[in-house]
Amino acid sequence: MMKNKNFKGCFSLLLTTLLLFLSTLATAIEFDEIREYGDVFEVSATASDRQQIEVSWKIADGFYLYNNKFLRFKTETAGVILGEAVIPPGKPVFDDLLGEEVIKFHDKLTISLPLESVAPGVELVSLKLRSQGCMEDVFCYPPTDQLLVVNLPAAAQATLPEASSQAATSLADVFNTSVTAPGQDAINDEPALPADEAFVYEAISYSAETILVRFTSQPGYYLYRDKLNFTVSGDSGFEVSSVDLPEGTIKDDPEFGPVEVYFGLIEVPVHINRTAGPEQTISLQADYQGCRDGDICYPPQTSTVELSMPAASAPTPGKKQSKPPSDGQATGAQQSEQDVLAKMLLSNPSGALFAFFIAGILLAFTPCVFPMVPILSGIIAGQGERMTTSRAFWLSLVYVLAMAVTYTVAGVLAGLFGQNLQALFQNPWILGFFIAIFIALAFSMFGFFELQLPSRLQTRLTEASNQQKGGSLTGVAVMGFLSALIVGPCVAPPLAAALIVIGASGSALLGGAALFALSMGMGVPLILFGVSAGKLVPKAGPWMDSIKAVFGIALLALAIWMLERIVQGPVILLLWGVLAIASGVYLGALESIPQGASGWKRLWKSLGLVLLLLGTIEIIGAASGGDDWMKPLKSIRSGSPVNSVEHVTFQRIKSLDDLDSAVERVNQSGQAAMLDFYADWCVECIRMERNTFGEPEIQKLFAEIKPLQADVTENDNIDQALMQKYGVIGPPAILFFDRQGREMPAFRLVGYFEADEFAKHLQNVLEAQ
Amino acid sequence: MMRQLLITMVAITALLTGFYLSARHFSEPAVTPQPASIGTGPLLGNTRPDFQLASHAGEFISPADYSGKTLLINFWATWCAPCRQEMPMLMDLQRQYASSGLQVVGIALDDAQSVRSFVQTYGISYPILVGSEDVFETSVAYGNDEGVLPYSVLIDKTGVVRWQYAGIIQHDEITKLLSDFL
Repeated sequence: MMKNKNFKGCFSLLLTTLLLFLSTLATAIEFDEIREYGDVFEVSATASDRQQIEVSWKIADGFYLYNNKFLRFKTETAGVILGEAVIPPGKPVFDDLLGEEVIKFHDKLTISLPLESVAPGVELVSLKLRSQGCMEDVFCYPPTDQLLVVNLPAAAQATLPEASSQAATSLADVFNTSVTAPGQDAINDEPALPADEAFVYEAISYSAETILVRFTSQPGYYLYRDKLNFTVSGDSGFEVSSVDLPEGTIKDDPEFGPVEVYFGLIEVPVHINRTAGPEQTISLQADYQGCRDGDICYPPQTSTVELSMPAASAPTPGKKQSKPPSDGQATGAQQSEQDVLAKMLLSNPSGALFAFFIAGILLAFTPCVFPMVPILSGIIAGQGERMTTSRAFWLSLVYVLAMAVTYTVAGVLAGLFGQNLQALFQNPWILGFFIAIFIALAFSMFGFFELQLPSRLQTRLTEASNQQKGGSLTGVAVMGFLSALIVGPCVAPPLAAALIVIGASGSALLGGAALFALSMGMGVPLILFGVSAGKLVPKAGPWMDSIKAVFGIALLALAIWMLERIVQGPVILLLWGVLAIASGVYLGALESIPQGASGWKRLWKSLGLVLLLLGTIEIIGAASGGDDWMKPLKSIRSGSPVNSVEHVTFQRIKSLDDLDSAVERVNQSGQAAMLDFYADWCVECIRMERNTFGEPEIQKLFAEIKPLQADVTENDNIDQALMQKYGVIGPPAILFFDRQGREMPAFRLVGYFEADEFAKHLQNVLEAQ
Repeated sequence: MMRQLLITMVAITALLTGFYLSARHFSEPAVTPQPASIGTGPLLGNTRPDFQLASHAGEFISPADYSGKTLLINFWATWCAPCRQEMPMLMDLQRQYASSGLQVVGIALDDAQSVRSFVQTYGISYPILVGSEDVFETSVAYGNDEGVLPYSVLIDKTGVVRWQYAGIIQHDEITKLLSDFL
């Protein structure tokens, strides 16, 4: 206690003096003024013989390096042993704050590293230099590793082999010519160097999973940054996971505009994914392209270097740097879409509610809302002669209001209790019941029977409401309510945002208002559609029957579409086929056209024939085991059942424990992980599977981000626990886990994404690692 | 017909306005008036990133453990002279503003042994977390790209980052900030 007091007294005094001092001295550092370590402490190394390496730091003004416990030197080059480093003594000063003597170096620090032994033939030594320094009186950098490769002079008796690099045959070698840049005369009199002399490619293994590559361009020659590419050739179980390309110089190329190029020497850490195994020789292939400045350009070159990789005892994580790459965005700086919306809702409610309304209108044109169109128009058309425009409007409005209120209530409940009502309703029995209703509605459209309540009940109801209006308004409200729950389960970003607001602020009202605005937005096109249906639908006659038949087919299509959540694969294709053929026949595809028939009749018949053909294709697809009605013949084309191709990369997980162990396994092989929440009833998920995940560019990225999938169709306790742990309301939602197994909340995705958009996001996830 | 349509539109507008006004009325505490942002930094105005780090006593601590408090997070190390310079002030701040809801949390990029003896020697009274790689990454996640020390972040009661600062905190500046956010 006494000690404590002394310390404080002593320090208070010191503090006051310092504060007085500091207040006169503006030491505030802007964020972009914090320079990178390598920029402040610029390191280089040379070896004049095979006895020692000289390492030297150029230290920026106002900064210093310590000679402290962090100053360390290491090599992992096989056959090289470093001796004790010779560090200049410096001038020890007593540091009051650290309570000990320290040695600081300003301006420059040069140390010499003796090489105790170097195996013959070793020409490159990789060095890992750890040091720690500060900006005087302001801040300190953490201990930081810097990587270097040093060229050793060849041993006296040894001839000079062209390193271990074997310049492989390139196009230039074959034709023994260089390509002159178009529009440029050769202005350089000297003959251009062969490509492999102009650009020297060397590589050395730095650790079990990192290779350091060095490219040296002769003076006046440069390489294009974006043309550099590295691959491990052969079937070695090794592959390149990432490449840390340094920043280049911007060159204003007359042909391409500004491009990033490298002059002189660059060093590039190349990170490798590998399995465990003993020391092994692999070939690292480099693709590159460069030019002589203002003169000639070489065609794309390919060179290969053989190098021996040290043994890896256990599967190693891909790359683990002590510092993140400088261009990598800090994870926290990026925000997921729904967080942005949620924040907006809290800070500017009126603007946000409007945004939600607009978002709703846009959402109306997604498969979430499509199915409501035939339901609503079916109801309106079903009213037949009694329909007036104003009545159509009221019916649509009530339908939309019921839907909006349902969405709002369901959403608020989900936010407050974390229970997804829509998921509860995706039960095969409820879906089946609804499908039956749609089929019945469809048949009544075809005029097989009138869908009416028993007449006694109807009279009573009519008496009760005294007007036929009340009865059908209630009916339409019930349909709106059920449609919201069962037909269109959607978790789009705005919905998720509203739920986050409810969860985060506890303001059910604000979240509810947002959901209501969203749903009303979704309803606007529906109301417009309903009103125009009421206006356009003729009151009676054969036209009316045709239009009713169209709605009937739409309702049947809706039934099949919903059935897809329960029954999968060929059955659906078969049903689509039958529906298409039946519609074709209905349109008169098989009837002969009498002489002098009207143009309309011919048009309908052609349409009918097209439908007939489409239906046949669907049925053929069904018979051959296809399961995607959008691409019925895919299974025939690829020659194998489709599902094995599409789902092969997704490892299914169920519980939180599954997830943990799966992510751990993925991390062990040096990959990041992605968790996709999926359900059979989730329309957007199925669209993602069909349109996005299968794309080759995405499949390529999946090599680095291992996709896992949680099927939450059942929505049981285990599924709910998994969703609750990550605050996921329901599918479609995609989470990402970095190479250390931590979830990256800023990169969450909710909703449907096209392949290129999704690919870009995956790239961002990788860059943020 | 037109009249009905008009009435309905008015009704919907009124409904939405009502929702909005009541929402604004009831969500008052969540939408605190925001003081002009002070200082610079990539994270300002964003929700704080989460972390879970071990304290020098060995228990795991995450920011959620201090929910409802204004957090002053200070990244430091025993080998960092400027960090040691500002620690007495941080202790003073903790003592002075604890009753108004301030919680200072120190996060050391260091080894546990050095931190333990430092904390004992100087009687540091606020929680100290310690780690190496994980601390560095937390610091980066909090907007400190180079991981420099000392580095401080002020987080308001709702978990929003209000201030980021690399270097020794100036007493005047922090007291002014605290008077705005406490």
